[in-house]
Amino acid sequence: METVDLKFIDSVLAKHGGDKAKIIAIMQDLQEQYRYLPQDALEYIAKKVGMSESKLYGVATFYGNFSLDAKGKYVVKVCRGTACHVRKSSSVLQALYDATGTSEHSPNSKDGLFTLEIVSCLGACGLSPVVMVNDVVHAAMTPDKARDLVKQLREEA
Amino acid sequence: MAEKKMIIDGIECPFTNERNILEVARNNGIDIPSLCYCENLSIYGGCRLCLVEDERGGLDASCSMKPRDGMKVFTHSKKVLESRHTTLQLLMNSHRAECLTCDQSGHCKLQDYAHRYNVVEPRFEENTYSHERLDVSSPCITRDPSKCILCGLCVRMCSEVQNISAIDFSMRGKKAIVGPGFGKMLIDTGCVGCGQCAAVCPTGAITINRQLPEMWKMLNDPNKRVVVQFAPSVRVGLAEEFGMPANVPVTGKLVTALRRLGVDVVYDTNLTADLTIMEESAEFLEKVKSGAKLPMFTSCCPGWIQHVEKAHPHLMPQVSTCGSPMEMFGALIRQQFKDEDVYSVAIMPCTAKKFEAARPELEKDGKRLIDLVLTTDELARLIKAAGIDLKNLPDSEPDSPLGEYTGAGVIFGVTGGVTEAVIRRVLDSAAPDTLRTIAECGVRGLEGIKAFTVTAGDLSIRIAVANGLGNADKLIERVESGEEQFDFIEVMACPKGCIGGGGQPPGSNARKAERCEAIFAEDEQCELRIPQQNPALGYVYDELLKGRAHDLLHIHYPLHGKH
Repeated sequence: METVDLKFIDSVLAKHGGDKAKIIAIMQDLQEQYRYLPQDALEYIAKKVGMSESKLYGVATFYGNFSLDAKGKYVVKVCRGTACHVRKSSSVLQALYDATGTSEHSPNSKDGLFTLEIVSCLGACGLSPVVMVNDVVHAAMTPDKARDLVKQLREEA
Repeated sequence: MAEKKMIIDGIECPFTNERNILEVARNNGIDIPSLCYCENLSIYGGCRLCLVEDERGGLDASCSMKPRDGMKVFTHSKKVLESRHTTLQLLMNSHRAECLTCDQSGHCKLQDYAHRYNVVEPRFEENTYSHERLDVSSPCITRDPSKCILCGLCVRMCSEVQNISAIDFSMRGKKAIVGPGFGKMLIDTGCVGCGQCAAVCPTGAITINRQLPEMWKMLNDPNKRVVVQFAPSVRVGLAEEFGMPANVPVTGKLVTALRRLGVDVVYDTNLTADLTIMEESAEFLEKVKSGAKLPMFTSCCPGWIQHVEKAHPHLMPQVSTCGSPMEMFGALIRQQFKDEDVYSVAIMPCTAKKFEAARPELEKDGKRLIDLVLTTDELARLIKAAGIDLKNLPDSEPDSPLGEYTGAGVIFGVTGGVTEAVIRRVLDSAAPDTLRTIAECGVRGLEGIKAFTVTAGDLSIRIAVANGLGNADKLIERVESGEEQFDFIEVMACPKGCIGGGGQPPGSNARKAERCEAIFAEDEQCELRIPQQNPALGYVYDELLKGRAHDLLHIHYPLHGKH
């Protein structure tokens, strides 16, 4: 597990006044930094804001956008919404699984570079099928383009 | 003001300040089913079993509705019954039913309702219960998520009453479970093993660790001398399991039942409750004299001790070093039967005692003082398994010479009892007037926190009594903020003290008030009511302890610091 930077967490807590009512905002800031919520950090935050670990864990696991598992450098979101589906997003997804060596049940690649996620709609149906890598949208994907994308990202990394 | 009434199932039901329709119905003899409601906890409204139909045909949860004058509801209309039936089918689908072997069988509310409402066939073929692993990490309780129906009673008990929050809801939808954060085991949380979660669990999702096979093995071993001590509260909880009233102690029958089970020697922990008072009041007066840091906290309750260790470690040096009455009796038994092959068993109202007995600090001369702790509930099972009819047993007396006790020992079972016994010891008078004054000084009553002052000669002692760890935490906050000062603080982890312990049969507030009544009834029947009058104490100090009183009767936990 990544060692968490307590100074960073303290600064996040200070920004939100250490208020347990702002726990979601605190966790959002934490996730922005680490791309997931490290357990050590959550345990530290629970103590600092005076909330039980079990309660904080409950909040963190309630929301689908929070992740307690470490993610790859590139979080690849593949849209499986209706519009993308009719334009064959399933073959794009399969190509991405194959190229990164991941699958539905183990979405993290061994080299720690990629995390594959299925999302229901990215709200860009006109560009379908859509894949999003971190904050960048890739439109009108095909299996070939998907393989090239993975190759390019590997080179960048 | 005119009396307020509502009509339930066509029956006029008067009410005053009941917090919901459910309570009004129950107070008027109408039992509405519910799985997620408890009078001492906040209202959740999650199980949907307590639905009632109003005049317009609307269904609403009676636990979440305030009664209004003239209101009409129906608790078993066609609509209500259909809804209840479906709800039960869905609940049964998310519960791993193994009723033949389940620990909770016979006491399970889900099982009871399934029978009561004739839910015979499952609604869906596929079960949706959790496959999370069994949590057997705690020496006191076991958590089985596959039987959890997510009523949340344990969650509310642990946070609202005990202020520990070892467990909470996590995940959501069909993955939702109740448990510690981050998939941890109970032993790695603030859990103190008080067992209050198990006491409110309507199914078998949290159960007490039962150790009956070990007990049977020892009872049937001719080479073992089985010596049993039983705690003050056991005499008032046990009766209820045998259909007897809660407000009469069954001490004599209990002793007879233990002998019939094959127990070789029966002792009443009350003796060492008296002994605890002798040691604890001496320790307190010594602390006052030497100007040590006060308040001094009591140390009889293992749940409280663990809570201090886990949540308030800096207070540990202020906790009395006196062993609990169970520990002290364990020490006496080892001295009494020195070289014999004795198996020392304690019957306790408490699940946390199982943890206490296994602590390394409770080993003296290289031997555990207590080999096995059974709860009141386990004793009831033992008696039933032996086919003993407790109700019709004759009375008998505990064995001598360690069978003697005073009323001061008996009252340990209820919140404030330890304190009242200490005051009896310090005021040193058995005059009826003095005893009455003590009883009326503010020490009695089942409130969560009591505070009062007692004057002994030129010494004015400020005392507080808390039951429930949430109340203890509130009290500690008051002390640490400087808002109040106390010299002596008694804490019992379970609400209302040991009579409401996690190892007792679960009971309503009214039932616990009756148990309290039974405890004081036995106290009043005792010829001797102040601990220093106990005739066995001379034998204990002179013959058994022989100068080792401090070594054998005091426990120095690591956080007590160097002594």
